[in-house]
Amino acid sequence: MRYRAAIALLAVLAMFAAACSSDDSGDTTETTTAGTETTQASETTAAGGGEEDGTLQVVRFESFDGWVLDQAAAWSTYQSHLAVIEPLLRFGADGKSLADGLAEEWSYDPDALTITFKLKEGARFSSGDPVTAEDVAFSLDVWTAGPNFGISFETIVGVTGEGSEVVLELAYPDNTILPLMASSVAGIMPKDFGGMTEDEYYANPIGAGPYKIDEWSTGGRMVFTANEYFYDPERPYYDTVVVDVIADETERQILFDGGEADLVEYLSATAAPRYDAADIYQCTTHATAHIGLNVFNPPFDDPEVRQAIAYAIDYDQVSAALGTDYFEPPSGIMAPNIWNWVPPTKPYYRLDLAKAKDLLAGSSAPDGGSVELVYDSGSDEDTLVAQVLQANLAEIGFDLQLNGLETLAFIDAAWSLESDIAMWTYGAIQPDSADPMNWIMATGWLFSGYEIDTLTEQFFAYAEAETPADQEAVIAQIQDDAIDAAAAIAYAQGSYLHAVNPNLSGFWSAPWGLYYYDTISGS
Amino acid sequence: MMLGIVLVVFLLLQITPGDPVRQIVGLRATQEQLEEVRAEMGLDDHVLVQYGRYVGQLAQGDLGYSYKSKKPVTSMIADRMVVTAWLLTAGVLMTLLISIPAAIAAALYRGKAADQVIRGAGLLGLSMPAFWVGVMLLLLVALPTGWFPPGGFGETFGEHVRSIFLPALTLAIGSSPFIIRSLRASTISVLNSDYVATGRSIGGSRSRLVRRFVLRNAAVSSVTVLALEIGFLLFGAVVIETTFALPGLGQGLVLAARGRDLPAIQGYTLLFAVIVVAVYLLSDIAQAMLDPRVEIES
Amino acid sequence: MTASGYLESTSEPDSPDPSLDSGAIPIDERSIWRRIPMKGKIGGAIVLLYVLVALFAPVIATHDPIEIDPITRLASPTAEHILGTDELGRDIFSRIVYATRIDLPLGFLGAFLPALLGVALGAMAGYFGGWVDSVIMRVSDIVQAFPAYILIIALVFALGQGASSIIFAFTILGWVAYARLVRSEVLRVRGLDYVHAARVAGLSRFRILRVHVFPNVISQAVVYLPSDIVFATLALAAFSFLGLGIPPPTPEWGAMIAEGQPFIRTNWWFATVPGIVIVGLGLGMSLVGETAEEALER
Repeated sequence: MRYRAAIALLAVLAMFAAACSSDDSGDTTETTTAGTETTQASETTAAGGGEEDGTLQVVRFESFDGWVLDQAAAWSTYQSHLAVIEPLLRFGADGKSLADGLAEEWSYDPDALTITFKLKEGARFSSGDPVTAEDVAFSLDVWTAGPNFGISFETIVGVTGEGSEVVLELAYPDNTILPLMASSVAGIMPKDFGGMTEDEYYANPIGAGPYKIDEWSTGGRMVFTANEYFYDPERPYYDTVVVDVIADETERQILFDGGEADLVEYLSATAAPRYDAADIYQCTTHATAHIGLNVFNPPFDDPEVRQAIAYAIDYDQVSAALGTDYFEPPSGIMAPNIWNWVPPTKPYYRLDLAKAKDLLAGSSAPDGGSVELVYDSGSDEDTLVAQVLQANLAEIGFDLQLNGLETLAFIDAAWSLESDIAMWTYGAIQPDSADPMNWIMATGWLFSGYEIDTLTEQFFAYAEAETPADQEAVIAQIQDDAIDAAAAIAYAQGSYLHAVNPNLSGFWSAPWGLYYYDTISGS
Repeated sequence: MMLGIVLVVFLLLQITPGDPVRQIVGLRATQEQLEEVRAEMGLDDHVLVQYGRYVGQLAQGDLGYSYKSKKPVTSMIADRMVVTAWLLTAGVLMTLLISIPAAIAAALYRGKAADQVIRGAGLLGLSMPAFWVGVMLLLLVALPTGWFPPGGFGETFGEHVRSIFLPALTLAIGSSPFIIRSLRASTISVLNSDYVATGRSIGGSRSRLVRRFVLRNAAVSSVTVLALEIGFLLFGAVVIETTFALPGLGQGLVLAARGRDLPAIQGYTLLFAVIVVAVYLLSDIAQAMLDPRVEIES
Repeated sequence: MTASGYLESTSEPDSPDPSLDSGAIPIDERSIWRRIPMKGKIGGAIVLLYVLVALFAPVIATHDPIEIDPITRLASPTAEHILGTDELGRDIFSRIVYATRIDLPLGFLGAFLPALLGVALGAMAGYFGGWVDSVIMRVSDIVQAFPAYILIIALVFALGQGASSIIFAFTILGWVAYARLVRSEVLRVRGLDYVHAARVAGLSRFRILRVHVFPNVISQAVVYLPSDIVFATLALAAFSFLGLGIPPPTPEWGAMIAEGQPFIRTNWWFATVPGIVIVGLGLGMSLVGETAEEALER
């Protein structure tokens, strides 16, 4: 039951298409035995250029959530946290690997229940103080206390270490901790907030990342300047990064076209055609757009009705509406192209009206009916797709009432299962498939209300699995189960997009769209 | 008067469905946190108490904090004010540049071809939605010539001028018909008036008379009408700023409305109302200064 | 600012308001028909055309206006789609045709309902006088101090997006000019001998209003209507353009212009044609309005 309470807490985590990451020790008593697994640093893309002055001008659409790591929900917040409060590890560009951050080596030993890191010699906070195991231990306390992501770290019961060695002690074998160390939520803060009070620290935080904060506000301009104590003497290439929040789509595009912005983060697929195709950075397919059917109320309490819906969606039309350059019909409900992701063992739904009508005829709602769909009206993509779904479902007798809501109001409605269908797009924030699993649990099976007990068990199986093959088997099972349940139906899978000035080099982004400022240089 | 306006803006909070506290604390907050913030904000108090507090805060220049950006609404307004001031100033100048010559010409050649053309153009101007005019100027002027940016405000003075030209022209196209129409009528009445007739009878030349009486009348009359139309101009600014992606007050209002950012909407609405009242007042004063026949009331 | 404001401003300070001294004109339909000038007939014909398009939309449209076909989205004009297709592959021509069924009635309602409310309140204020009068006039002062369209944005925000919210906001903010006009007219008529006589004869107040006052004031209020319809239509389109009006997928001209704006480089007709359609309706209505106004002045 503790797990459920924790999930309920987690679940209130909301907002901008961000997946959250969690873990729980649960009440499992099993211990698994496995050999020591060591992961090598994967090469992060080498950035060109050398020392240079200058300013990288970034433009984004959403406000910043503040510096409390646990309270990050907006993509832009994860992005900024990564730049200042660097975690022990980084993610690789391919989305399936870990790379060196403050730590240069790391290893997980499921038998000894330890994860060991070797800190880089030059790892220092922007105050000049070196990063130590004590800082990690202090940070862990802060992470664990967080109401949102805190339970993700609960397997970790202690931190020890001397010199450059840091050892995390685990209560149970848990595969999901290591990748978690590459998420911004696990940023390393100086012990006792560097002598500041908590409030002082969050007003003016320091970390060991490539940049320190010069100016920040939640809705306005943020200015970062290079951290002179950063462990890599080459990076960051840009002395200054300026981030502006521009709410208007056209204005962002004009700033970019006029050369006043080097980078526009998280373009919508509908806005992308306004840019020169050569300037669009297309991340590996990962974003998973889905609808959740409210299983608590008729007609969607009947699995056959839900399956009929899944067969009635014209997936090609949806992708066409979003732009086939960036979106394609889905492979399954799990966000693809990250660690341990595998497709379902059977084909995913495709349009089949005859089958949809057959299913419906034998169901509890043979004539369809009127159902409400809520979506985030701030998203042009969702506004378009909602209309496609409306037309598609009309074919089998469903009259879809579109209810576009402001983002927060939408999440309130989706989370409280006030309507029949909710529409959303999710992605991970770190390279492990545990992350989407957590997101699915936290959202009550993607805003459908479908039971998560099975998924919870599958999560433990995944966390304790001995081999990647075992983990993949779990993912395949989840994928297959999702097809049968049809509580959440993926309608498209595609790419997160950024507009990037072609003169920049060294820019790369993980499949979920996050990137590192310090790898970027002017040409 | 201002208190009435404040009351209406305050009532927006009361009639808006949904829980403002929920929007402020975010959805991860627990029920207790919610109650705490609600009590902190005094939302449990009697409506009149809340109203008193709202007025008190306003008196201190406090418009509250945006739900979305968490910034003080006053600072959001300050950031955007400059752009709207540019747009309105340039728009009014262009309106006068278009309408004064047009109206005087129409009055002097009353009933003739020039008059007909000007009246026809006015009718057309009145029927065109400002946002569409803006899009058409982008399509027919900005894109082919490349002289003007397709939107935005730029950073330097020169960029501001180039950025504001088409939006201001759009505004002028929408508001000139009003000015031309009233100015034409008042010019005709000036031309027919006794003092002009007297001036003519004692041998004043036509052009001198036009300069002496008609232009003076034109100034007074246009100021009056423009002041009366300030609400229309402000709405024009809202629409035009959105069309041209100008980061002004109007765009701020629209973004706040789309984002359901109540404090920001209240702030912008109040500001627009204050502008209207202030402009009415100023126009009374200006009118009195320009025209000795008008006395300031009370 | 409403059209009534626009019309008011045309009565220059030097000449008295025509509405105050013209009184009621005896209506003889045949002579009126003969006296309608050419532009009135043209305007009427244009308006009639729009009404017919609205009535026979299903016959005129070539496609279902909300039938999507994303595969052929943003197509150029062809024989199949004479104005191409939009972002979801819907036929633009058919959407423009069907939008007449939204914009025309809503534009009419957006002008008619405020007029109705204004006439009623103005008549009450003028006839009953006393506290009724001062309350109504007090409220109208406050409403008038507001930039009406700005407040409509705030109101639509509070009431939720959609046609009914907009019409409601139009109504409670647009009545002032009518109320003032009718009130002054009622005050004038009330002082006339035959109304006194009627009261002496024991007629009820309502009956006096109905029989003696309304016919006198209605004709004047009606003159404002056509131009107010233009303004209401333009404003409705503007709100939809701003994303605060009619929600998708209902076809609406202003929203179509907003949808088309991002594509002006490639699909220029997308944003252009709905605008031309709005201008056409505006011109037709304006011509009707001018004619009616001139008829009253005579």
